[in-house]
Parts: sequence; C-alpha cells; structure tokens
Amino acid sequence: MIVFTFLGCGPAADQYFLRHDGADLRVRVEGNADSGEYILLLHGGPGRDSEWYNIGAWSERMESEVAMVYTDQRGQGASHGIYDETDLTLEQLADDTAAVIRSLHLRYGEDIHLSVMGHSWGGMLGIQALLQPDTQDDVDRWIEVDGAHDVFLLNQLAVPMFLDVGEQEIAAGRNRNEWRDIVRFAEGVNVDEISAGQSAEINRLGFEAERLIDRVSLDPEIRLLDVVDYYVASPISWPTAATVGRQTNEALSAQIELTALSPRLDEIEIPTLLLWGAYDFVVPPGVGTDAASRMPDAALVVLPDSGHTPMFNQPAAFADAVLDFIDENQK
Amino acid sequence: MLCSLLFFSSTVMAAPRMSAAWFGETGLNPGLKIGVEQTLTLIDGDKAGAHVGVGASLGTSLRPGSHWRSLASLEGFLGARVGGLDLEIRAGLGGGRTFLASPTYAIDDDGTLDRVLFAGQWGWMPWATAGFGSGIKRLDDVRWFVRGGPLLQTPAFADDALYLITELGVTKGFW
Repeated sequence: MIVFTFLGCGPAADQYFLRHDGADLRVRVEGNADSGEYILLLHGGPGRDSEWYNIGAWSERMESEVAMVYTDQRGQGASHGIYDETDLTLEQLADDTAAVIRSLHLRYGEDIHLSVMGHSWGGMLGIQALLQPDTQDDVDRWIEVDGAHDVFLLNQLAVPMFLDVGEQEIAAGRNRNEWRDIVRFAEGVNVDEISAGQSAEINRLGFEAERLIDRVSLDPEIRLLDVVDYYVASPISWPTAATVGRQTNEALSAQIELTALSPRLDEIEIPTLLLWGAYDFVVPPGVGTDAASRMPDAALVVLPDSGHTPMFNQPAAFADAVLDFIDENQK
Repeated sequence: MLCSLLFFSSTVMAAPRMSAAWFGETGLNPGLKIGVEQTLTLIDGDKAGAHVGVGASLGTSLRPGSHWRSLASLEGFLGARVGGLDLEIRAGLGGGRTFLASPTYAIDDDGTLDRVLFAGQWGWMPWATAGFGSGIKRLDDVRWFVRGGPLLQTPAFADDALYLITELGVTKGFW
C-alpha cells in the first residue's frame, strides 16, 4: 500500500476546476511558476488527456523553466460535469479554452506571460480559441505542434507523402511489404475528392507509416514506472477517459472533418511557433509550411527525427525550440 | 419474494456478517468500504456450498483521484466453494456523490473568479465484481476476499463513466 501510494506522488502542483457552461474543466499547473511564464497545453485527440503528456524528458525540462498548465478539455480526461452531447462542438470547446485562459490570469495575475501550445487536434482547438474576440489579448504567444487545423489540407498532403517516402523506403529495402500496402492505398486516392472513409484510413495509415521509420524513436527517459503511474495512480481514470474520450471524439468527428481554418490564420497576430515532426504522416509538415506563409508573425521549425509527437521523439530539441522561441519573443 | 424462496428451497439462513474492505478506484486511488450481508444458502453441502445473499455497503474515498467518492449500495451475490476457495460474483445498485478533489471556480458576470462550493455531482453507480476468498487460520469465522469489476457512474461527463474497482477485505461472521 505504501509503495502504491508513492507511485501517485509527484512534484508540487496547483490544481483547480473551472466550471464553465456545465463542464468542470480540470486545470493543473506544475513547474516553475516563479518564472512568470506559463504554457497552457491543449491536448490532442479529441479523446486524449493532459496527463498523457506529463511524462518524459520534455515535460521535466519544460517544468524546470516555466509553469506548464495541463488541462483536460470537456468530455475528456478528468474533466467532469453534466451537459448534453450537443454541447460537444468546436465552438463550445474553444469557448471553454478561452475561459481557462482568462481563469489563469485571474488566479495567477494579469502580469503572467501566457503561451498556448496546441498539439494535433489541440492545434485546431487553439486556433479556434484565439479567433474568439479578445482572447489574443490574454495570450502572448501561440505554439502549434503538428496542428490539425485544416483536415482537407492535411489529407491532401498525406497522400503524396505516403507515395514519396514509401518509394524511398521500398528502394532502400526497409519494410517493403508494409510500405507497398500503404503506397497501393495512396495510389488509389483522388486528393481532390477524399471520402470520409478514406480520411479515416489516411489517419490510421499515418500512424502506421511513422512506426515504419527507423529514425523516429521514443524518448528513452520515459520509464515503465511513468506508464504504470499513468494507468494506476494518476488523477485520470483511464477506463473513463478511454470510454468517454471515445464518445467525445465521435461527437466531434463530423465537424472536425469539415473544418479548415487555414483561411483565417492571418488573423492570428501574436508571435507563433509552428513546430513539426519531419515524419509526421498524420499532419504532414506541409501543413506547417502553409500556415507559416499565411500568418503575419510565425516561424516554422521541423525536427528531422520526429513524427506526430516530437515532444516524445526529440524531447531535448523540442524543449530547446519552445524555450528559445519564448526567450526571443519577450514582451 | 425472499420469503417465497425460503418456503420452496432447502435453505439454511445464516447469521448476518460484516465486512470491511480497502477498495482501489481504477487501481490505486484508495477508499474504504464497510458492509453487512445476509447469506441464504441454497444448496447444503460441504463441497459446493452454493449460496445467494443480499447486502448493503457504504464506501468513501480515502485519497482522491480527481474526485472523492461516496457510495451507498444494495447488492446481491452468488457464490460457491471450489477447491477450498470461495468464488463469488456480486452486483450492486449504488448511488452516491462525488466531490471534486480540488477547488472549483467559475467566472462570474463581473469577470471575477468565484469559488463554487461542494462541486461534484450525484449519480447512480451500478457495479459488479467477481472475486475469491478463503478462511484465515486461527481467526474464527473471518475470511479474506479479493474482488474486482466495473463501476458505472451516470449521469457523468456527457455520458456514462466507467471505473474499475478492486477490493481487498475481510468478512466476519458465520458462512
């Protein structure tokens, strides 16, 4: 029992729930609050949770320099509340995010410096939140990590990426059979008319393709104990998160598939870091390149040995890129 | 209905027994549960004492995950003794309230952060477990048990929420 209880101990943290439109959103702050720099992390999914990101070398490094804010979005992770499934819309979750941002200033001071970091689906969510009136007044910087803010574009870019990288890998004799299956699928896709079924298959194959790339590996500092802690002693009830998170994902999927925020990226006026993995087949680096061309104050960094989760593939380089960006964009 | 079962079955009514258990909510978020149960033995016999029974229990978290949980249940169980072990399945209809484990705030119309007291929610909490146990040497009428199974909370989030409960406990009383 003592050992088991120890597994649940972690660094000192501040945690609260924000009640907003029927949801009780969990907000957990860990790290160097004395720095005055806060980074609000918008997790991926939908259906993921924030604790999933709170492991490995990247989070340790970030928490030593800044205060990391881990929040669980509506219907995901350890967030609670009673509301209708009809409330699960991009607009509602963006409104929730804007409220969390405001609550951080109310709780920790109007003079804190706040960056928002959105990963994958969190990229779409973060953009939508920043497009809300006055939200950019509360945020100093936007950090988009392999952000899926334009599903049409990411699908259109994934197909040629499957073909290009697939041909290279087959020629090099690496995982030929698996790549031939992926290439065969990609050759049958008309990028101007991608169906919902093909979109789902592109997403699935994106993760599979990344696994076939030898140079993309996992942070060796992610310990078995971290994984065990996540499943048995974290605040997240993983069966709940898995079941409710899946339901939330299904509720949002139809809207997400039809959402393309690229035309509005020029409205994001705060300094922006676009951080991508070179071997992200789920949201190809071309999405980041396109975003950089549209945004008035954006820089693109592509990590060469990373896929869709660069914080876990190249944690040191990831943390360096983020912290350098913060240093270079002090108000 | 219970009386009808008594009339038509070959039964032995056992005395009520008490139980106490540590329970882990989804692993190691611990709680404490106490209960009372009444066993109704359907089949007499030394080797296969298949029995059914009913009971009631109260539980509370000792350390929260994201919430404290209180739970009151009415439950039924079915068991048999196999190879020296008591095997059992249970199902309960519970109800209770969760209390969020951290302060809860709302942004009011004036734009200030107001505390929300006793944040959490009432819910129905049906559950089921399967488990096994055995007697403890030198302790008369005391048996240990291990059980585990799912617990649903409804309404919760936007839909039902699923937890996994493990229990380690003891029962005192005639079996």
